[in-house]
Amino acid sequence: MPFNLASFIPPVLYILVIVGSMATFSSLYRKRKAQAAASMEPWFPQSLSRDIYLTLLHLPDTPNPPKIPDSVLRAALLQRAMDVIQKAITVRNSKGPLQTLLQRGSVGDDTWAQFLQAEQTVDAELKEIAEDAMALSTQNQPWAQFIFQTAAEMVTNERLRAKLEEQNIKSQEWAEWWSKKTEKVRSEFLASEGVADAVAPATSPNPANVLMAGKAAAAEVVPERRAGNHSDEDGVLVEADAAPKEAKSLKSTPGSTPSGTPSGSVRKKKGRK
Amino acid sequence: MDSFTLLPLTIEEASKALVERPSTTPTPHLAAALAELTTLHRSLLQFDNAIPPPPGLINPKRSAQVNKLRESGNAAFRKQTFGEAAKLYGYALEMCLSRPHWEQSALVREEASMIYSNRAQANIALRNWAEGMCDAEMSCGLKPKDNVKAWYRRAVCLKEMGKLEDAREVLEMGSEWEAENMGKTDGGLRSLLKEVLEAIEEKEKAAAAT
Repeated sequence: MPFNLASFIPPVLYILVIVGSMATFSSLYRKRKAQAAASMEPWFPQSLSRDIYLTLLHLPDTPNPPKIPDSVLRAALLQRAMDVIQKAITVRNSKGPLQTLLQRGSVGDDTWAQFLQAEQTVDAELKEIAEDAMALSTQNQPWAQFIFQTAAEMVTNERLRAKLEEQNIKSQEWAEWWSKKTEKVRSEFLASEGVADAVAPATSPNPANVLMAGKAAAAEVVPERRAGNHSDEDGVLVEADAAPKEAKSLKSTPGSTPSGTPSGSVRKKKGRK
Repeated sequence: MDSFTLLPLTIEEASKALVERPSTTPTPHLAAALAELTTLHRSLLQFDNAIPPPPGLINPKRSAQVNKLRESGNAAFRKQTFGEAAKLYGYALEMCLSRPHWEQSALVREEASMIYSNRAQANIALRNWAEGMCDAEMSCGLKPKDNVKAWYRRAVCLKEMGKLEDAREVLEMGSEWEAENMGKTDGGLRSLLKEVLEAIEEKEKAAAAT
């Protein structure tokens, strides 16, 4: 049947060409995608704690292996869990915002793919750690049940300590600033008044000295400083203002600063436990 | 993700300390990470099998010590030996902040905020405004709610140091946190705020006059 065969060739050819081109496209596309996924920059940098733990696990395979006690492995696993918990928190916190960004088109599909991959890895690592914790725990202490609790608490504690450390540095700056300021104001005041001999022994700039000298000396620091402040702002007024104060031997604060010291010392007693 | 970098590690037999083996391509931060791990390991050895207990379980001895130090600090304060009190609070603080990290951080917050607040009070009594301000700030940072005293002390110190604007800000913040208590425990925040506002006004007047 030559006639029938000839009429069949074109459609068959057509189908072959279509299917062939589709297959080529799909294989190329997939290859590219796989390549892109492989070359994708990881969301998180490679974690050192994971490497350490796995190295410790695999040390027996190396020649001339040192003996690793289980306690070291447990510590390493805990450290790894801490790192993973931090990552898990980051992933959970950034998922929502990233989704919004993706919908608005501010973020590309590749970033989203990268993120999803990171999420998967973190999940897998969590599972792995839970399994290892189970393997390392004893019969009456199923560690897998609370290793993440412990790790999370350790992360929180570490952050808290870091914050406190930061605050400590700030505090030192404050203390320095204040001691410098009192020092400057005092020396200016003394220079302008020329009464250095009369006042100097009672008012020392160093808080430690104030502490030693007790309340009497401390009580005099403030009126003195206030007057100094004024000499800073309006030098002319102080000449008239500070002189009588010296005569009163600092017992009553001058009228120029009524809301200053007294209220402070009164309140002080109220808040005490 | 199924691969890992085999690190040049070894362990010292006697001390069980992990050390880095010398290699041609040194890994950054490895030595520090190993030192951290070794410290963690040593601190874990106190437990059976080196498994730290869940965060809910805390060592009662340390809590007792912290409390004792704080109480003696309070006693010193009552005896008006403020320097001694500040020192004792400092010890209590050290004890509290060196709690092992697997214990609850909320507890550290609670304790530390109270001790900081007390030490701020002692510093105020000593007229160490800068130190008092810092302690009170720590306390507020650790526990902003139900902590009127710390807010108040912080503002007092700022005011005494001449930082009126900052004092006003702190007072407003403190009142905001306090608003949830429906004004039951105002703790003098409002009256101090009034004073500070008056002082600011006065200062502005003085500035305008010159």
